[in-house]
Amino acid sequence: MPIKIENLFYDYNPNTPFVAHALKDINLEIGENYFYALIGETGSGKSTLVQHLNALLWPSKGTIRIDEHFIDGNNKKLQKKKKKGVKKLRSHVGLVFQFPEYQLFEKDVLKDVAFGPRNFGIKEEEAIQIAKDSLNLVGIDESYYNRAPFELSGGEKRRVAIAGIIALKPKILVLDEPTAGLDPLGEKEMMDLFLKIHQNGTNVILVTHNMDIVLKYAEKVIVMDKGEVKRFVTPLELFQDQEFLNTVAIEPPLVFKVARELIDNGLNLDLKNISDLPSLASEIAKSKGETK
Amino acid sequence: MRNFAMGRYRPYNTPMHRLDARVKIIALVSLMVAVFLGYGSVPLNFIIYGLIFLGLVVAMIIGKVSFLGVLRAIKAMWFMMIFILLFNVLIPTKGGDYFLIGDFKVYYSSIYNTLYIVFRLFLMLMITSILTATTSPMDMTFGLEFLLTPLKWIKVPVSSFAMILALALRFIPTLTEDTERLMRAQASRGVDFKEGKLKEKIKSITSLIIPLFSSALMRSGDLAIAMECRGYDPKAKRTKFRRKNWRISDTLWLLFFLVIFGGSIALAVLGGKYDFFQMFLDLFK
Amino acid sequence: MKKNSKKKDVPVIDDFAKGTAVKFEHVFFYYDESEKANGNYTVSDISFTINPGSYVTIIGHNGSGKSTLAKLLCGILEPCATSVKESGIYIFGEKMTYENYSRIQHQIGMVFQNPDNQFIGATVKDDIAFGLENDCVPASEMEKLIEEYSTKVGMHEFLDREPSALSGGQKQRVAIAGTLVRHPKILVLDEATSMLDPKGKREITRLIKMMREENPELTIISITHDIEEAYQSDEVIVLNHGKIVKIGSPKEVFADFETLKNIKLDIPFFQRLQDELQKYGIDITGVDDISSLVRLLCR
Repeated sequence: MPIKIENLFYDYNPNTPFVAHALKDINLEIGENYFYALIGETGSGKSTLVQHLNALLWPSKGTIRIDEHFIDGNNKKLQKKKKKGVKKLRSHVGLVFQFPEYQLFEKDVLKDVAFGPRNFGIKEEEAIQIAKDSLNLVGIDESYYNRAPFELSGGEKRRVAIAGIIALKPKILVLDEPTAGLDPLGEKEMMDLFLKIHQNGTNVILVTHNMDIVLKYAEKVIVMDKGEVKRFVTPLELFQDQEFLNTVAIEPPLVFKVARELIDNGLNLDLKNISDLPSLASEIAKSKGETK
Repeated sequence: MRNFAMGRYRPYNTPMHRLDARVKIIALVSLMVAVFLGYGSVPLNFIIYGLIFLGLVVAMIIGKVSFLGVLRAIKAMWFMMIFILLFNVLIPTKGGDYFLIGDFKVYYSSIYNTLYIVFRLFLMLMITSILTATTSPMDMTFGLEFLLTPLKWIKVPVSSFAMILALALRFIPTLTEDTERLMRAQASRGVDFKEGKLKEKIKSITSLIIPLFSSALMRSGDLAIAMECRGYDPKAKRTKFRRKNWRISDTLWLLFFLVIFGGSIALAVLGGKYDFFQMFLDLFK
Repeated sequence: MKKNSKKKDVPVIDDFAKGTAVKFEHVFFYYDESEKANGNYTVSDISFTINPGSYVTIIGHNGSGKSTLAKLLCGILEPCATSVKESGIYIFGEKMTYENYSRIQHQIGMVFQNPDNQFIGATVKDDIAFGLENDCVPASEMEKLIEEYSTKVGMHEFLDREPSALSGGQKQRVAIAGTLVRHPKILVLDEATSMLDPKGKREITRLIKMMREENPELTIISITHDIEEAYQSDEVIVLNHGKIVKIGSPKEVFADFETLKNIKLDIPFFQRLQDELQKYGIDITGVDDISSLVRLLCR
């Protein structure tokens, strides 16, 4: 599902003394079948941008095209009619907010997951079936179906909440900090889940602060800073560009930090060959003239 | 736009802000009393309400209180005004002058009664929004705690109530944020908060209220532990960081509002016996 | 556990725990009876000793009993009774009991995970003052202390800010100031950085380092997921299913790849690098941060 964003601007509190320019002239073109990361400091505009993708926010200026959906922030008359089609867009772009476990409210897990599909007019039986499929995908088994969401552990709740979005059968799944507050093991399980969802044919856009995750999972990474898109490159290209990282206050994974430090202190490493810990070790060995 | 919401505290440093919270709370009470009393004759009532209104406008200008919020409150009151009017018109009254709409007698007194209620509500809104906009939540709780001190003598845990109030005020922005985030999250799941049948509306509200309650409970649990770990014991004595320096101007304003308090009651009581407005007019005959 | 009577409350130091900051001796805890019936204690037979002035990290997965341990430590939870006579929690040699816990609690400062839920005051100033008010410090002294401690955590220019106008990292710094201002001897950080962005994490890590240099007598116990932080501490306690799996210096603990792999914990970067370089015959034993690696490799 291609996305094309052109000259997108967004202001919070427009026409008041409290105006804040959250997005400034965003241009972005995204193709098909992707697993991308969206990164940037807190307040760089990531969340604002992401909320435009399912029309929770409407652009102050500029346009967004997502498949057949067209969001036109330049046409003020359209504002009134904007509700038309928004609902359909929301089923095409599934948005998982930070700490999604807080949005659970139904009596039992199955009902909660079926809540989304029911809102989009799907018949009860079918919605229940979709809910079961989604729960199955996120690794929540039958024994949980009739339990109250509040009885579950933190990680389980989050899985159920994510199943609630997957049940909308989105073509693009947007995840805002989905691993926040999880321990390293939970984090890995969660990321593997998204990889699986991606392999089932869903496009994934992942908003994160965790550079190790970016390195390990993202095909490309969109870097935002002060409301602008600064880079749209592969993680390796990004982390090897230390000068740029300094300007946006992003700290690369330790591998790259260590490599950079060694190079700056005179060790002859080729940054292009380094992508993870074993390759760093092998480069160090090469420069030291040692081989396996 | 939240920044213009009615009654939201705005941290300026105006004379209104500097006035002691205790004086402001007493002012609130005495003005409310003055507003809710009747003074015997229709013109006198309107004159007194008008004077209070003018005083409040001056206070709003001095205290840099947003007029937008109050205006919005009037907008919201339209519906209620019509409702009260109908109610008053339909209820049989004692009599007096009237005019006819078709065959129906509309008494002037019912129109006056409607206007009184609307005026009183509106003035009350102004008074409270001035108080909350110019008094920080901390000062407000401090003032309330101080003024309620006599209740401590009959074993009412005033300090605990004040702490509860302070914490509630502290968590309003946090819970507002929670609500906004939840609304967006549920909207992404296809919830439409603006439209839909009654049944759907109830469902959308439920999808907000339940998670909101559970997160508030979780927060309060955490908070209780954090407070205990910093040595809080509701029964123990505590010192106060925020001290208020009472100034001469505070005393003067306190006297002023006490005069208003006493004066309005006296005027109301006497107003039942004498028609002051008519007496005033008679002076010029 | 709530203290009701204000009886004479004099510290009684047990010889057996003398000279330690914290001593857990056969501590058990369960939340409900069914757990006990199954033999699944949340915290099961925990014994360890922490020396004054040391920096100890406690690691383990969610549900391993880490946070329960923290709550036991500060007296919010009470260990369950056992047949062992010495069983209990000792703070500076004194056994924590129902009668004395509120006095002992005073020596322990806690900083929790969620920055919002531990911000008690309406502004930064009021929040730092909260603990002082509870300790009945006169208002005239508070001002000075607030100045001092807000400066220490770098929040001096934000004294009149409300929490909604602060970042997560800033709120945590305020929480640390509000705790330290009461002069605790032990500071417990219960996943204090896990909800922060990288910038906030860096701020807190730097602050902890600074605090240690400034006040070497302060005992710091950090419950964390951050394996790199654990690698920098004096001692590491590894928990799994309520039991201690491993305890010792980071070098000892993290050299045991097998145990860590079994309970699915990560291995710190420099430990892994050391392992990788070993394959090439390069020995970097003893390296635990970037600068020491640079010193070793870039002569």
